[in-house]
Amino acid sequence: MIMAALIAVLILGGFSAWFSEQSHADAPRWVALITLIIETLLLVAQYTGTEHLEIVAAHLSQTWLADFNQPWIPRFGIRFHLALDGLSLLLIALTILLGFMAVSSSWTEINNRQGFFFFNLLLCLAGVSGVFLAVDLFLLFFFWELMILPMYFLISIWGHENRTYAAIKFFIFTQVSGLLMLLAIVVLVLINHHQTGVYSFDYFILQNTEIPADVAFWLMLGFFIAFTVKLPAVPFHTWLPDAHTQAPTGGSVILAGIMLKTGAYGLLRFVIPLFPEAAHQFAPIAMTIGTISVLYAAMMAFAQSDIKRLIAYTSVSHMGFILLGVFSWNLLALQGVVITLLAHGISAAALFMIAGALQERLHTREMADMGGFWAVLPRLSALTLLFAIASLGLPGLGNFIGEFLVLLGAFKINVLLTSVTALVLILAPVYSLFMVQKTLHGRLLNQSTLFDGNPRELVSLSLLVLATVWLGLSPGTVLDIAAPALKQEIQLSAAMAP
Amino acid sequence: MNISLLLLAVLALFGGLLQIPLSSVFPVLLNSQPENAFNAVALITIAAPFLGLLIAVLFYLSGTFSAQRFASDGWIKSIRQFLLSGWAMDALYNGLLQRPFKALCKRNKNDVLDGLYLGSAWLSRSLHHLSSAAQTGQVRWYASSMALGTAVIIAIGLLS
Repeated sequence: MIMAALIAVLILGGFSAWFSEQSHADAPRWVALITLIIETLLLVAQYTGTEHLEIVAAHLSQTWLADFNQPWIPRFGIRFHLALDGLSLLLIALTILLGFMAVSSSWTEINNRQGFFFFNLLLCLAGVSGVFLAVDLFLLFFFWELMILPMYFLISIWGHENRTYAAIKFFIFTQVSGLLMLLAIVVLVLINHHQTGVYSFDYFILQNTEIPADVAFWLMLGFFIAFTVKLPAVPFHTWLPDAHTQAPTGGSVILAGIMLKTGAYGLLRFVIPLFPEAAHQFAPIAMTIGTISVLYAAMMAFAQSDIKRLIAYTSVSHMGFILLGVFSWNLLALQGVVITLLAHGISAAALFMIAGALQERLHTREMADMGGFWAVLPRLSALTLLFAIASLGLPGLGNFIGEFLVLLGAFKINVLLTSVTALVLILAPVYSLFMVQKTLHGRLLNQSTLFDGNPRELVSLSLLVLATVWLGLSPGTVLDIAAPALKQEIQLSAAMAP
Repeated sequence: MNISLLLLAVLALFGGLLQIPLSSVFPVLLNSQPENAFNAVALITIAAPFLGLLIAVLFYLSGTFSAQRFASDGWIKSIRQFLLSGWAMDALYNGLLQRPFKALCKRNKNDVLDGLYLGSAWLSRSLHHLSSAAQTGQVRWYASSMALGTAVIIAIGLLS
């Protein structure tokens, strides 16, 4: 019940934010903030409440913490079926945390049509939460679309100079890949209908469908492409740098912090458990794509002169680790994937917030026009340095734990690819320190407009600092929450393990 | 100062005689070489300091060779330069890794893979221009293309 409320509150909050604009121009951002506070309380209630339950529902194993199952379109066996396990719980928590960050970074940046902005922002969060919770494939597709549309508006209305191009590119990429997924879903449901005589979009039922090997491969590919475009991985990544550079800061935070994670979640939750044999066959290719993404995007990050574009490419590089880890399909690698998802969400969101703060002050994203910020922005500079080294994988911070576990797990599966991927340990410092060097050191160019972080920015970024340090120093808590769900997935998809 | 240096000098000379209890850590390493092995490596190791001593004597004590002339020789100078630059490791890395990487980055700043999608966008735009050019508003073109299309369809129907 609380799960449905998690989504409903975001949608209702979105509409109230929109309508509240009529009473006061600044009301929407307060409505958005209150909505997110209610979300936090709901999630806490959900987490603390489920510990007392032994079995959530008869047909579910104990790894699931909550289940909500209502008929929606009975004629086609479509149900409003949500389920929560440790993995989705962590990702929902990340969604809410970064929701606060997105609202915080839009606080003064958005002056125009605030109501509609926060409506889109909250609706986007609702779509993402829905994707993390849905276990009915039709519902999954519904939420998948729900998160794309508001993001299109966020980029195309409040974006920067080249926003229309970026927004349409983002929309076409995600829409075409979403259609591939829809096609795969429909074929899967029809195969199941052929065997059992009933229509069902339910994840738990479709998992037991016997699919001919060649068909399974194509269906797996449909899902795989949909999720890898979103992740994104080379060669489907080119929408991301454009979308990121043009999006408003709040949009970038959501895009990098949580929307990319839906792709990773999809690979982990749907591609492999639904098609374990086909995925096993495909694993070497997927892992190779992961390795290429890691290295190619790291190189591209170094080549950029636009700071947001640079950060966007680092996201692609980090998401390559996800592909490598997921298709290794052992507990170590999957634990690494979960930590990487959370840690990258935090560090990328923070870097985009800093880039947004700089753009708000300087009205440029070109690193050639930056430099010498240590002298005038000591606090923001210190935070930039911290998140830059978090992103390059410094031990003691979250990203290190994630990448290390992924490499450790993948090494057991494919020594060559893992060794080649590990070369990014050289490239990541190269691009991170290049960014630090270009922005923080050197000669100060335009001093007049610069002022150090205000309390709102500093409090938000400090929260993220705490989160990434906590992840780096005691990842145990997170690993314990995710472990039962991951073990269950591995056990159910035994055919994937070599 | 003097005492500590003296101590270090004594240790340098006779420290090797001390037994360091490492046999538990490196048991295999210690036993891998047969005792009292008198091979080429050992010979060179012992000969090297004496050879150095001999060269020093020839240069500075007896004055058989001139150190000044030796240092000013062009060939020796370039070797000295090479050694001073740390065996030219920096230059090697610069040529082998750094410059190719930077050149590659500079050339590919706009992501060659994006060309794939820009190409498809260009293709559909060209097709759009092509088909919109056909929309002239002249009924005779529309009517004749419809007639031609019908003929083609009938032909396909008859031939297949």
